[in-house]
Amino acid sequence: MKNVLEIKDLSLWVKKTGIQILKNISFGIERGEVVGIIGESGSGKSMTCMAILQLLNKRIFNINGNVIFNNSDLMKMGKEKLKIIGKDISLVMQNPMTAFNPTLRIGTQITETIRVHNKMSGKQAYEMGIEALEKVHLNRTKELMHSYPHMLSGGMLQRIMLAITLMLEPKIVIADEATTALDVNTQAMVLEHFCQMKKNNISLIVVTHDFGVIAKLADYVIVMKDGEIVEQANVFDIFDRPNHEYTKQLLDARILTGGR
Amino acid sequence: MIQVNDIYKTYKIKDKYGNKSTLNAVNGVSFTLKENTSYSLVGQSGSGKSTLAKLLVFVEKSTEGEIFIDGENLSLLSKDQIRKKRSNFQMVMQDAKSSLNPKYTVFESISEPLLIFEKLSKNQLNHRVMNLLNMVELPQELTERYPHQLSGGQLKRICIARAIALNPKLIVFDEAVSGLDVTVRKKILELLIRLRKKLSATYLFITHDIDVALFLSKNVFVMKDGVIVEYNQNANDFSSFKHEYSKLLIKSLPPVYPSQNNNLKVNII
Repeated sequence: MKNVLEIKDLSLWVKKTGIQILKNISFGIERGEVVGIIGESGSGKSMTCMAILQLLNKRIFNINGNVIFNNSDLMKMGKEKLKIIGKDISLVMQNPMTAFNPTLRIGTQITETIRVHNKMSGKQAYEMGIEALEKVHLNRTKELMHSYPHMLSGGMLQRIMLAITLMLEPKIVIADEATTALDVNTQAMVLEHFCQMKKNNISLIVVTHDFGVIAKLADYVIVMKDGEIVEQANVFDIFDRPNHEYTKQLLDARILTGGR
Repeated sequence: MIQVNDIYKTYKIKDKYGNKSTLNAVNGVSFTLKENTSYSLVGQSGSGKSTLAKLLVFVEKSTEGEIFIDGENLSLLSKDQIRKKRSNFQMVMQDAKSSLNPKYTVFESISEPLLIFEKLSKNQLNHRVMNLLNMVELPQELTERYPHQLSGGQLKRICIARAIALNPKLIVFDEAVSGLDVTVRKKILELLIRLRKKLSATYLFITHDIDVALFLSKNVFVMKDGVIVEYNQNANDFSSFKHEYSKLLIKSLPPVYPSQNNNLKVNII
């Protein structure tokens, strides 16, 4: 099958100091496939996501390589064209508390996102937003649309983020530590939503440091350390036959109790 | 022995319209902690576990109820009297970086509790601090560094050193390992287990991660909405948990191995 998104030899430097952050990152993702990126803090997982989405400031960073989506290279695209691509590739961020604008109501932020990408009236967008919130099993949607981010819990906000993500019917969703800040039960709920996305043939890039999340979702795993991919393989290969020392270390660091 | 009798903590809060109401963070909790034993307390965020920790080390005063340490009722004492007893109960906070003074070197941070409670000569102090650094397995070269020059794992170890400096009777670890990298987390957990063998005290580990709780102790309290819903004294196995809520927590854990993908289904609430 052909890859939906392909990253070729992605390298990243800080211009001022010349420090290399990413070294020759290459991987591809198929339709409906889940790629898990695992690594500790400072390994360059988040930077990879940012580089894919062209969110990095080119005055600060030197970026090399290709990010190929729909036969076109995102690296060479202008800002206006990238905006259209934004509908197809969505990002779910780690901290839902800071991802929203604290001065705007949730409803405003949802309808704003819809109307950037689709031509429709405010009323239509509002109804579409409510429908999207219902899809992620949120209750009292009308009240939610009228509330401000600080009034809601982290789990709720993360689900609203998912609603916004799903609303635009993206082809690829990038989840950057999307469940790290959540409780176990809320995490289980959010992971279930990701499973449903997978069933709907949405490709997922899941960035995490938790092998549990990888085991639940991923088909293919990339292990990163210090800006390099140290190992990439099928999930089962990673769990059964880890090749690299670092992968073994990470697997050993898991805490498994209670007769598991 | 630490005995907690029917303890309550109520906060006054204001809702979004400015209406005043009360929030029962801890809602009638009683238990007994024995000497030389370790306990874990598991609960979701908002379950009141951190409030309970603060009540136990007298950072906050309980609204109702009594806390006995070795038969002495400490909830009757005034603030000054509590301060004199502070060496008996210590706490390690979640965020190591913000619980250390950025202007103090490692040496100053660790020697601070010793200087307050004990009269030591310079040599003795030096000796004690080096001893403590050894206990938490940090190299002695670090003594002149400042917190911003150290990693998260090292800072955590310094916090632990400060807490054990005065040989307290009770040490409370509030989310001791959350926010750390997985490999560092494992090392700190192993350090805690080694320390437990060397130092006799009552340990209470507060965590939201049921795996960490079971890794550290067999005696597990499960807390929900300010109440302890289950006390499991032999928590070797997940099947030994009886309460519905504990079972839900266990069911929510992500799978260990990828092949379990399809069997695991959590109801979306």
